Amino acid sequence: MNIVVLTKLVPDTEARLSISGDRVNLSGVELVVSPFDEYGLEEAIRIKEASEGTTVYALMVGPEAGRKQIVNCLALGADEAIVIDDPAITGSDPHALARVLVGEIKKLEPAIVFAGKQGVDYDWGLTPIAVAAQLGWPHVGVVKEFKPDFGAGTFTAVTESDEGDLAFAGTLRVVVTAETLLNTPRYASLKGIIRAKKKPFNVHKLADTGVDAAQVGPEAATVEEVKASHPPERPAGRIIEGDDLSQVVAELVRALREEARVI
Amino acid sequence: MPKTLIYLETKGDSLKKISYEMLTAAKQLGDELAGVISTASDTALNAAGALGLAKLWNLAPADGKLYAAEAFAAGLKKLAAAEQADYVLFGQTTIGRDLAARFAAESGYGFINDITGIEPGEPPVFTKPLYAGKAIGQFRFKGEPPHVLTIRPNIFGAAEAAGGAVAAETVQPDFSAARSVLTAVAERAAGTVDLREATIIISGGRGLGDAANFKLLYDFAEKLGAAVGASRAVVDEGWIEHAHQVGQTGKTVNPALYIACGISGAIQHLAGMQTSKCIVAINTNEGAPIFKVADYGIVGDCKEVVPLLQAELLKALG
Repeated sequence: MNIVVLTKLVPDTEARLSISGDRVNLSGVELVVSPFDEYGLEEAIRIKEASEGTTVYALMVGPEAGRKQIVNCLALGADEAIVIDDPAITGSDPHALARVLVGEIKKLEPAIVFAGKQGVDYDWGLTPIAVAAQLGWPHVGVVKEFKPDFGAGTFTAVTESDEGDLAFAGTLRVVVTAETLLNTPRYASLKGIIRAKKKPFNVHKLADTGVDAAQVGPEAATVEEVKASHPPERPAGRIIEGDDLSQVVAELVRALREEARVI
Repeated sequence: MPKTLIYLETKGDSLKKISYEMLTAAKQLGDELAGVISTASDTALNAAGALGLAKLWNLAPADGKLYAAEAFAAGLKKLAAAEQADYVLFGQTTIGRDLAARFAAESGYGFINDITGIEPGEPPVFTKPLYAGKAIGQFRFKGEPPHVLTIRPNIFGAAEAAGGAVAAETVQPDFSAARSVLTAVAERAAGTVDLREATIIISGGRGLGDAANFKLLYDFAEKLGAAVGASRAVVDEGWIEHAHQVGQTGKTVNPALYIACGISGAIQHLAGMQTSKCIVAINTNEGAPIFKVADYGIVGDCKEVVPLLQAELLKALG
């Protein structure tokens, strides 16, 4: 059985971002595997450990410069990495990224595709669902619990919502998007790091996926980015000072009521 | 004139606040509005019928089958095509985001999610936070409608229902073809307030000293109807469950009042709460970065300040 984990490189969540030329400038920013993807990978590795004969593929759309991060996926327990690095894909929308990913996924015939619930960059949360739709598979999103039954070809899953926990039931094959309540990702062991160096690391071009160049890139996109900017700065606040803490708190409550008008 | 189809959300017998907020956002796109709902409640149907929409459809849940993205997306596709909708609008909620994505994905429609602003024009420009709010992006649709939008909660303001009594036409989703189905909702215990819906959030960080001191925040939340948030640091320490984490890998919140107790203000935390209307920071370290985004700050020990603040707020709210 094969399992595919979709991964993506994003700026480290502790990084500050700069803007230049109306775009977020990522040069010099450290890239990491999108944090939510790590939970999808962990879940895939746990399934592999419980079901002999399972192969876990870490699949990413470029750049090859992300080799270090993807090798870490191998160190954690993925068996094989596939990176699709092709300049033609730059500027693709999530539908087009899904086309490229689906081109690879079809070759692997997995039982499950895991992904993070969203990339912590543009936060679209669309690509994995588009992969499901294009494969003609169901999906279950933002799960905190996922239990496949490979014998019966079914799954149950739990999603956290504003109202409470939502219970889903369905059939395999399925695309699953992970949130952080799903599990606790492991750290790579020294043995894992050494083994990772010997695991297959494939770099593919767009042509390898069978997707036409006209179907990707900015020309094919359904949405156009006009500009990016810094969020508006919050106006300078004030520290409420005083010797008597009761009076300080009373002044805060007065300000919340009369100035900020939030209570 | 653009036509917009709104996917209304309900909670029990009533429409959720986000439904009224979608009405506000939809009106910024045009006046021709129709609605889709999914409920077994006549009271909720009547509330939706009184919003002032031209038409209303009910994707009726079947026995034991409450929702299925595939079936609902297929139902919406037919309605959007029949209505020649230019925009289909959803809330950025658990079901809203799921259905919006599946609906867009099935047909490759343009998709802009979690929007916080609409700039009118031909075509309109939509604003959405990027990198969990560290940057703001502006986008417009290319290509053919319908275009898919989700709106961020607590941004657009709730519209008043315009009145009327539009009867809902039932559309039965084809659950038989769906392979991922919502079968049950385990409603949260009464009295707990969801972070994304809360008007007041009191949030704790390492500066609280230890896990036991979170009791101060729970007390405060219970008395004031607030929700309890937390920084990643204390979630990692195991002081509180991850469901409470605010920040780039937790929840993005924007309450009227965010009270940060003993939170230093790591950039990934700020990304999750900096669109709150008013931020109060309480911290012993006057150099903490949280004070840079706070509207009001108190340099002091949370253990002393929080009980005083709780009493004073209770007095003020009478």
